[in-house]
Amino acid sequence: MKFLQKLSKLLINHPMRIIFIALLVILLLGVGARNVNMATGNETLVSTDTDVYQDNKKLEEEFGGESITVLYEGEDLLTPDNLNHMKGLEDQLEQNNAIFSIFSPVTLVENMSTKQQENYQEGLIDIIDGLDEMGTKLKESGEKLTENSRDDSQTKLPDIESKMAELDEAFAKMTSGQEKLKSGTGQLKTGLAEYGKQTQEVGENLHKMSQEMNAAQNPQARQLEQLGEQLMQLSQKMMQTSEKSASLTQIPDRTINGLNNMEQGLNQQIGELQNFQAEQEQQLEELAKLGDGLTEMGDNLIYISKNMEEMIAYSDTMKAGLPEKQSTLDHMIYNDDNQLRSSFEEIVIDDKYMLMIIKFEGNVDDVTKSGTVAAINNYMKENPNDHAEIMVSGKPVLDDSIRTSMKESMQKMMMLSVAFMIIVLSVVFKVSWRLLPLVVILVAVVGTVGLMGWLNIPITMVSMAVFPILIGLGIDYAIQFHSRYTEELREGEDSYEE
Amino acid sequence: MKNKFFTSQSGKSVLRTVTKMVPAVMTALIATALGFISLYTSPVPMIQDFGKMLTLGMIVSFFVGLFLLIPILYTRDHFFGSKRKKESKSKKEGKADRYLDKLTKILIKLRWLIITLAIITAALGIWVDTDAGVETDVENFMPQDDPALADIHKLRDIIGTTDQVSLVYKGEDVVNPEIMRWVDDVSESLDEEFAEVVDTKSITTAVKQMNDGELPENGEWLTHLEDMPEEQAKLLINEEHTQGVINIGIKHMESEPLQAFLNDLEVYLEKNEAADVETTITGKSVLDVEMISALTSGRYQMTLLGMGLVFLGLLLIYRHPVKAFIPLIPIILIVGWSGAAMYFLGIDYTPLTATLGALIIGIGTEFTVLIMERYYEERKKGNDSEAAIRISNQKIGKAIFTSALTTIGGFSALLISDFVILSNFGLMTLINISLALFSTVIVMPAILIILDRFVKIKVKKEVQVG
Repeated sequence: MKFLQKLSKLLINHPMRIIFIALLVILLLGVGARNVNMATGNETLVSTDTDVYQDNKKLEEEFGGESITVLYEGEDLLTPDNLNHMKGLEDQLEQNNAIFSIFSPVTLVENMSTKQQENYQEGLIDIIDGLDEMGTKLKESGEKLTENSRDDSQTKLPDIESKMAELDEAFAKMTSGQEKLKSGTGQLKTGLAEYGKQTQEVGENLHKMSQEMNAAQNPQARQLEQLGEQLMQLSQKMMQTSEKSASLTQIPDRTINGLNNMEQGLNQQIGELQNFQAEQEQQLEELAKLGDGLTEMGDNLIYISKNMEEMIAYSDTMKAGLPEKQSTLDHMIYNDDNQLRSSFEEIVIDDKYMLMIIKFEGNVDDVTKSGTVAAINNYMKENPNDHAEIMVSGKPVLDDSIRTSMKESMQKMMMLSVAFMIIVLSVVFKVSWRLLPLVVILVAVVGTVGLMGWLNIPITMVSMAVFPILIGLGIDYAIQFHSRYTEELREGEDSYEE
Repeated sequence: MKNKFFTSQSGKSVLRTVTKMVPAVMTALIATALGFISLYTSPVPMIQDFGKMLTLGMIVSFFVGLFLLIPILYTRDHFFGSKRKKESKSKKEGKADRYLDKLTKILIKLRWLIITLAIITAALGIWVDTDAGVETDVENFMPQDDPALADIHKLRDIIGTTDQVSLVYKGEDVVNPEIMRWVDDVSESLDEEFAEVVDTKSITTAVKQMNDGELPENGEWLTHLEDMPEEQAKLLINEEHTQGVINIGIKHMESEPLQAFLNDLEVYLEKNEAADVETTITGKSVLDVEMISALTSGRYQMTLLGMGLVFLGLLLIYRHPVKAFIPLIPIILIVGWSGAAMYFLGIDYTPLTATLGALIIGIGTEFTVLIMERYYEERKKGNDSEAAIRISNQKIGKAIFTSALTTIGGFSALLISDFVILSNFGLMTLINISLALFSTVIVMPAILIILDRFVKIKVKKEVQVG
């Protein structure tokens, strides 16, 4: 009792100071409100030290968390346009490190084209090596020939035979490279065009050379002309390939044939060259010419191979990507029986629906999830797709919607709640300053939320949903104090009046 | 000395309010807080946090009321004078007072009838409540016209399932033909074994899709895994090949059948164990089941524990078993009635309404403690039990009536929520507050008078300075 009387004395002696201190304390507590965090993750559902929680946590760490499903609905969904639309979304989400994996038809198609591109690149590298070797050998042979034609004392033709054998090997390498190209039909349009152009140039050069030699009516000229034509053919086919990447598989076949012809042609040449040995002296001049030609051709081939190497090393054109033509795409995704490949089973349903499954990293918080959902919806708004109807769904989307409407609903309810209380207090609480308890309790709410911030108690879905309860329960004390005070005041007044 | 401070009427009012009300409200606060402690025992962290928030809120409200409300009222009356005497006691209020007084008299006469009826109805309530339904499907809680809900239903129609249970298997090297065969067996047979399973996805089903439905020969596993897009493979097996997962797509189920399914699945796995792997059933669905069963199963224990704690707390304060028990009687009645109300209104238990027990204790003890404190205060002044109860009901009854109505006003906002879970919860809290008010005003007098003989009252003269 002593304590309570002292407390009363204090209240009466320094009411202003106490009001001031109380408000100050509330203000200090209120600062803590900045630290209050909204907890809505799994840790609010199940205690973190249970096996159930730990198992799920490990699962999510290893294999990702919840997933959003983007559903494309329509006819003929598997078109480059639709895939590019998907790809656009994928690119946008690439920066988002809350995402564990994105699985869609794009993933599968890209995987296929990557595999093909790898094969293709290997093939190209082999061709480059072959060309380089061929160039070097031709150059060497040419130089030797030229040297010989100038040096009369040398009666025998240089060791052209062995050189030619090496040349043969180089050809074989190119042919195998071509075979690899056959198995890889990627998106190499620009790269191939470049390659084609280069090869054409060589062909034209050889052609020119042979025409020059034509004047001498030399048999070698015909050989060279043939060679040039074959190279030109090769280059034309390469160009064609780049235009029609869909029919690429057949192209390498033809180029292989072409290269084989070239090889035979050269072999013949060797034979004929050996015959010429007899009439060496007469032919010396022509040989010199041939030597120069071969050197030039060798230089050209080396040049081509250097260029191609650089092209592969620096150019983006070799990067695997989505096919730009429907036929290419069809070729990739349908098997020989014209059936969609079974690896698409999971994400293409009934030919009418196409799925993109975006899986979050494990233990991602709700704010990030909501942000991602918003980003996806935003992309859909900015990039309308006329060919398919698109729906973004999945548990995170549903949860996001629940949270949003719950928050809206709560704000409405809080305001309505306060309004109802004002009405009730005005009608029922027959004292002066009857709304004071409500004002006081709103101050207390600020203090409570602040204190929760200081004590690290999070606001959860439950506490948010039942916020009015805090006000409803808290106001009781204020009403009791207010009521008793007024009662005592009146009693005193009554007794005074009596 | 103290006369100096308490000469003014407002000063005296402060003294009286503080000396009389602070202990009473403090007791109520302690009882309420003890009731909320039962919420801390919930295995669900968000319910624990909810309990903490309520306890903190109550304490802050108490201190704010004491150190803000009272000084403000005092300042108003003391420094700015009060010319509001005439305003007090309108005729209407006098009438209301007389009416309440008459009612109290009737109540006192009918006390045995009231207490019998109350106990019978409460017992009936507890009895019907034991088989009340439980609603645990989040999709039934939310506004049913939400487009996101329609979307997920559509998605479920198309792909068959949106709910998943994950079966994780761990081993030194899971990509060994034997384990892969086991994974394949499980993936293939779950479909047939369980009606709840819609489809199963694992690394073997994915490889088979790429390999024309065939399992690869012994050595080819790694090549096949390499050929698979990384984005797909990492959903099913980890990089080190020490863990893999079988994702079991299941039908959308309430938590009870889901729990049963999980148990069956566990039994099935025990029967079909693989030698070199360790298996775990997990996933968000398992987590949800765990939470919901924790929320709904322990609700009676939670309420009982809350009441036990309140009793112990009051026993410490009053050092009198009957006095400590009195405030709990109406609470037990409210719990019973509230169960009956839920049963007859056809409201299922939800994770929110499962916390009602603790809230009933919180709201109810406050009212009953306040009216009991006032009763014994009046008895000490020398009033007999009947007079004491009439004064208490008249004086504190009004305050309780006001705070109950205010709370009801605040909660009725929940009713209009388009969230079924919230509007049901709002309705139930409304009913519970009304019941608390009812049992405090109607039943409490009967209890107090009947049990009065067990509580010794030291009658003493008012020590107040007049």
